[in-house]
Amino acid sequence: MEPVIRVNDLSTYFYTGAGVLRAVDGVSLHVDPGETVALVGESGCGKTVCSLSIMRLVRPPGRVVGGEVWFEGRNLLDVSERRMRRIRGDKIAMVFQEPSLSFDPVYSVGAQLAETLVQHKKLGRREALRKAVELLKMVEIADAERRAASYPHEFSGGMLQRAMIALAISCEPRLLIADEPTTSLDVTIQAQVLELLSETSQSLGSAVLLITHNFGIVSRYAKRAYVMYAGQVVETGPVHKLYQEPQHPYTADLWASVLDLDRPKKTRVLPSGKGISDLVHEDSKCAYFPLCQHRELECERERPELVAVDSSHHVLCHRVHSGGSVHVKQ
Amino acid sequence: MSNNSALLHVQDLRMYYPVYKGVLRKKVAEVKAVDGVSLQVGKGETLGLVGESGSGKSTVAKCVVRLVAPTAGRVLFDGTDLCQVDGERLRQYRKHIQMIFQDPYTSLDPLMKVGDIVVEPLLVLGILRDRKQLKAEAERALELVELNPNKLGRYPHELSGGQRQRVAIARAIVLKPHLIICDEPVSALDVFTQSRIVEILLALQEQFSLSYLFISHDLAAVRFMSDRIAVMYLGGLVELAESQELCAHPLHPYTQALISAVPVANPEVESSRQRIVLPGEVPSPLNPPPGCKFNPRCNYRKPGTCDREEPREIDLGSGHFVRCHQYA
Repeated sequence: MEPVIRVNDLSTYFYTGAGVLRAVDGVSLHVDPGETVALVGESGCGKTVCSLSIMRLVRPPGRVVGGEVWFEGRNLLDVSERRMRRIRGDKIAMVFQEPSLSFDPVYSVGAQLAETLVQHKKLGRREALRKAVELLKMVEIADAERRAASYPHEFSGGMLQRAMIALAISCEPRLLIADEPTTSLDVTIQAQVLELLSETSQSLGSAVLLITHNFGIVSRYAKRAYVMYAGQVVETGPVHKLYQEPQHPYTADLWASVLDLDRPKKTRVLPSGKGISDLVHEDSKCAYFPLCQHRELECERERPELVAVDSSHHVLCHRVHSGGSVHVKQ
Repeated sequence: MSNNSALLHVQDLRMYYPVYKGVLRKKVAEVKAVDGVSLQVGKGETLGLVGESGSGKSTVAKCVVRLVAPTAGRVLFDGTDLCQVDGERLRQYRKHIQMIFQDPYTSLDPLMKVGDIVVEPLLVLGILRDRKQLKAEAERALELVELNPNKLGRYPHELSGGQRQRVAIARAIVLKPHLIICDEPVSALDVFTQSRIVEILLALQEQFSLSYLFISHDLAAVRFMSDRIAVMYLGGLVELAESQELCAHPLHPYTQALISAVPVANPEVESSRQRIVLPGEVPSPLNPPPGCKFNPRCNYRKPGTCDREEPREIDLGSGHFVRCHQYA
């Protein structure tokens, strides 16, 4: 099956006064039709820049410096800006983290939904507004007719995020990129919004790239995941494998430090996490080297390459050799 | 829920904020941010307080440290009602109760150096004046939160979020308090940093037999920290039980939904969990529904009872309390 999107060796650097910051450093990923794939990592690991690069929304001092983004037979990094505008919001749609910042405060929510439909689907104004109300009903906004005329500030956070989903699915996209869609919402509203997102994408057959730092959400909604660290994908595979047999020490450390409902009170020792503030890292060693509990001499001398553990499970670590596996889970 | 040996004993706490309207600023309504909350924290114990935004959990914290004066109720600390003391005596009590806030980016003075931030409480309360001693205290406090003493001369903006939160903790423990109120202390932090901070808090508790009131919307963090957990909804407690008991056998429909809304990391466990999606949103505390405040979103609502009568607190034994008509 041909994937909806295939990203090859994508690199986005930021040229700052302090040096070149490799926010995305050779990321390859793909999403199959109808599939929900998670891109998971801590803040600052480059997951958002990765999605912005796919959408060609990176702004200076950032620049996509290399790689390919294949979508419907075209490399999106080569197409004209005019064509890209036609693809954005139509065939590839995005749900952002902060819905209150994603809507224009001076237009009604209905008008903003309608605008997308006028632009992409060439509907008439009235027809588009009627469709907008329908979409709001689809995302379970009560009293949709009246609500379509309301402005973003009159919506609560959860309602606005549902309107955002309505906007994203309005053109029945082939790919939906959801960037931390529920981070700013309350717990029970998070559950509402995520259920809605997964139901609507399923009924439309859209593929979803779900960007999150919440491992519970990964387990609940995604079958496959990419774990990102310092701009690189350090491990990828089916979620259950990543959990049961993590091959990369970073993946194992992450699972171990998640504060989980499933885990009773206890104290355990973790690497004295200094985080990933240092994206201006050297090329010549493994990015996780300073924090890794399993580091060896080799790790400091050479940058690891992505190795296949099996056909679906890949890892970026010197300790893993093709076909072999290492037990790192504590 | 009465036990006289408790360090902190909150009794029927109420905090109503007036709402003014019009040119004459006439009082037109009240927001009942906290409406009859009773709880207690024992010595060396952690009580978790969970709830969503607007549930009143932070208002409880503000009342306990007396940043606001509650409308009614008592806040007994070591037997003294903090609502009745004022001025210098209140200041002396503040020594024993410290607070850690959610956002270490806004809770630390950007113009002060770390060393000065940490020892400021000692100066303010006139406990220490000698510069050498102050510096030694600051160093000791930073060591306790596993922060390198070379950070003493730094400004908050030079530190990461996790380091700032450690500074906030150091500042809280420098007075050797008995009780620390932690208001969403890990919500703004990353996975690794969260677990580090939680571990530091647990280690400090063990070392100084501290008591914590740990407030968060994140049930997983609360579970990890707490001995007992109280669940708040729209200004009132709906359930209180031992941590393990509450997570394994939640009784209130809201607690059940809250627990099911938090996905767990283990994919196998997660796939077999029940998912309860609550309809609608939390109603405005300005205009709460009659009867049980949860009834408009409840899947077990009994019309005629739940939308008319406020449920009483039911004691189910072994420290498990619930407010729901189902168990009456």
